[in-house]
Amino acid sequence: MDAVIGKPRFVTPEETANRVWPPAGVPDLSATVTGQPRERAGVKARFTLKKQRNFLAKLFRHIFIRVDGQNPGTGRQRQSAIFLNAKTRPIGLDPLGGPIFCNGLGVIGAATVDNDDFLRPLDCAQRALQPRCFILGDQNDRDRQRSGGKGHVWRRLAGVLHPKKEHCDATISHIEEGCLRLATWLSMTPSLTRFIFALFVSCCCGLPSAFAQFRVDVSGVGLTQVPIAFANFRDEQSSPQKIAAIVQADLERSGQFRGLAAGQVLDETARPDISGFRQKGADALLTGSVTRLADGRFDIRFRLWDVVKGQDLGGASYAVVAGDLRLAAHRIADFVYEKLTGERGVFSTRVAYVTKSGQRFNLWIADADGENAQAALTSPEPIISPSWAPNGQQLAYVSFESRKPVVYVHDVSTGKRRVLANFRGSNSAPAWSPDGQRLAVTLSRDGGSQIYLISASGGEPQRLTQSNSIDTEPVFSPDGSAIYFVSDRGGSPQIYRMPAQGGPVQRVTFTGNYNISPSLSADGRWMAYVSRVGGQYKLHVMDLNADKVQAITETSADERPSFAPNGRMVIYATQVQGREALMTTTLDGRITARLAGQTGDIREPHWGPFQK
Amino acid sequence: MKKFLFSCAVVLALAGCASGVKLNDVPVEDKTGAAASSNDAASSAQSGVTTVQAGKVSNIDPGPAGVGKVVYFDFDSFVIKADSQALIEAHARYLRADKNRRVSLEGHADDRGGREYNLALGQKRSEAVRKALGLLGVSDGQLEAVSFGKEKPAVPGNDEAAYAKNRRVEFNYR
Repeated sequence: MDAVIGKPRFVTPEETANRVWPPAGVPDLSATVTGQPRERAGVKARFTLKKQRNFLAKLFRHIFIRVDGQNPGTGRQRQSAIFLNAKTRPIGLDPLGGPIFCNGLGVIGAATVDNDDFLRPLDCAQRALQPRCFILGDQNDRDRQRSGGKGHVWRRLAGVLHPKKEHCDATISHIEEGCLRLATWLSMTPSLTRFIFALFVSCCCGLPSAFAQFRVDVSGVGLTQVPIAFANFRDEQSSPQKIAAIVQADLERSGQFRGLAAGQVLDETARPDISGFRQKGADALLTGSVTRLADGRFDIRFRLWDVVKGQDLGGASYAVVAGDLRLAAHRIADFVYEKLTGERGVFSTRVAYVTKSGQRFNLWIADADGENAQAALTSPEPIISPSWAPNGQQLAYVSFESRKPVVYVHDVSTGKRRVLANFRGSNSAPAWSPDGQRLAVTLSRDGGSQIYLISASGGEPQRLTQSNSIDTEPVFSPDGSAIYFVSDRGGSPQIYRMPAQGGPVQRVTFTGNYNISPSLSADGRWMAYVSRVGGQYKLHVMDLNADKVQAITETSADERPSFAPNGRMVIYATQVQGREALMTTTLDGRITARLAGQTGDIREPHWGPFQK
Repeated sequence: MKKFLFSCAVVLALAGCASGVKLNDVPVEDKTGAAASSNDAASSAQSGVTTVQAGKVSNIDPGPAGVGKVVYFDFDSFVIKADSQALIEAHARYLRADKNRRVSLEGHADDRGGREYNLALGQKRSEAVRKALGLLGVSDGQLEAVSFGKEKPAVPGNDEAAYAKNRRVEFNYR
């Protein structure tokens, strides 16, 4: 023990045989260690080793584990004490691409494990629910005769331990390892000050791990972008759309990826040279092929590789007509995005928007990147408030072609449309219920703009609001139980909420005197809306659970925010350098993109749902 | 309406040629008579969109001669100003003279603010005019109060002069 004090290092194999496990300050998790841990003789400390251990044990119930390292070359033993981080952190990927958890615990900071240690596929699949893990070194470790680290993960402080031979990957950052070494060293002395410091350090180390996502930091362009190499797809020239280029553009536009050219043709059956790509600095690799089928369709196949671990993350194949080639590429981008970030991608969704060109108004349906726009409606009179049905097949909107606002429901692929609401006066602001059965609309048939519910197949509307003020812009909550809307019953337009069948009204916005155009995220947690601040109309995001509001844009003429179906981004209309534009932004405002659109003034976006 | 039906017929006829109904970017025949472009006849595209073209509605009644057709409003207000009173009375007389005359009162708002909220503001303005006409004896069946919100400004521009000209209600006789 004396040899270790003052030096932040782990014990050498020579010391292993002689020393006491665990080191002082680290709770003993092993039921198989014989004898009581020795207390250091002659040291009068208020905090004895035993007390320290018990205290830490209670405090960090699932944190410390013991790792027995074994050098695969020499077979020498090593021991380390390492942290486990929070339950929710995935620490590896199984061959099917799903994140795996090691007993609900991750492994960080083991001295004997480094970043490219890998899993044995067979063991992983079982492991998700099993209590223990092994850390297996990789071929490099063996080659260089370094310790790859076979780790026994001890399940809990209390309870019987059954070390099993299961394997798991450890992804460690240097910072975490440094924290660990420091905490372990600090806890090796019976000093109270150092013990408290050890607590503090271990808390700090535990916390970031609890929130860090596996491998990808989604905090902004330029901060952390996952480098991904794109191989040239085999026979891509036979396709009118460049599949790999579309996937790359999608992923780069999210701000979370950086594309590298692989410089070679690799199809989905090829076994790539992983270490070669590692040297190029890629973390992942996309390969694939395009085949023209006899019936004129195209067969798109791809495979995604985890270059760091040398693993196949899976792939798929899509057989599509030429008109759906871009959609297939967007689906590939979604697959890659979901595998590497854990979040569902929205690249294969569509957006609707309106343009005005001279005296011509068009309602466009485009891919989420703004490309491939096709006109659903063209009219000499304005079109506003397009609203996607939850099934992604129909669009409700307000058209002024009859020289008054009328609500239509329009089947996008066939062009068939019908009038949903053409009552006396103005009919506007259609919003679908989450089950697609009803729409909330604003009608002035009874005098004044009030909110009504109407069946999606039309018919007699049911009035929901009863006020002498303006009630408009209804939007359903994602669970369909409530409707958020804009009302100036308080003297100025604010956002309120009421039950979906009508009923008592609750106010939601309290800051500012002009709050309109609510849009809710799919998890019901966030509301995006427009607030007038100092004469400027700015997009705000409110955390409905925490009642916190944040303005997230630099522009001053924001309109009509609409959440992406994964709740991570918002599309809105604004003016950039005097011209109307559509922008997308993440909820913190850090990653933004301007959408390519058709020429002319562009406005009224609405983000469509996930495509089946 | 006729154009729309004809367009539907064209679309359905083309659809009959393909195995699926969905067409990829087939514009409906427009006024100049351009032919619809060919579609991918093999099978349907999931992301296909069919274009619909809406026609124009024309006026048939010029309204009372020599009388202005526009009532203006102050910012964020739907109160009819005193100097519009004579204009409204003139229109009321015209409408009372013949019960078959119908007018669409089209309310507008200036360019500032959201589209749907401005639609509702324009609606308040047109309904104020409707009430005023009703008080002058015009039967309600001859009136329809609608709103264009900020969608059809009379004067483009972002200054107060343009805004003042856009906060209005127009009399549109059908």
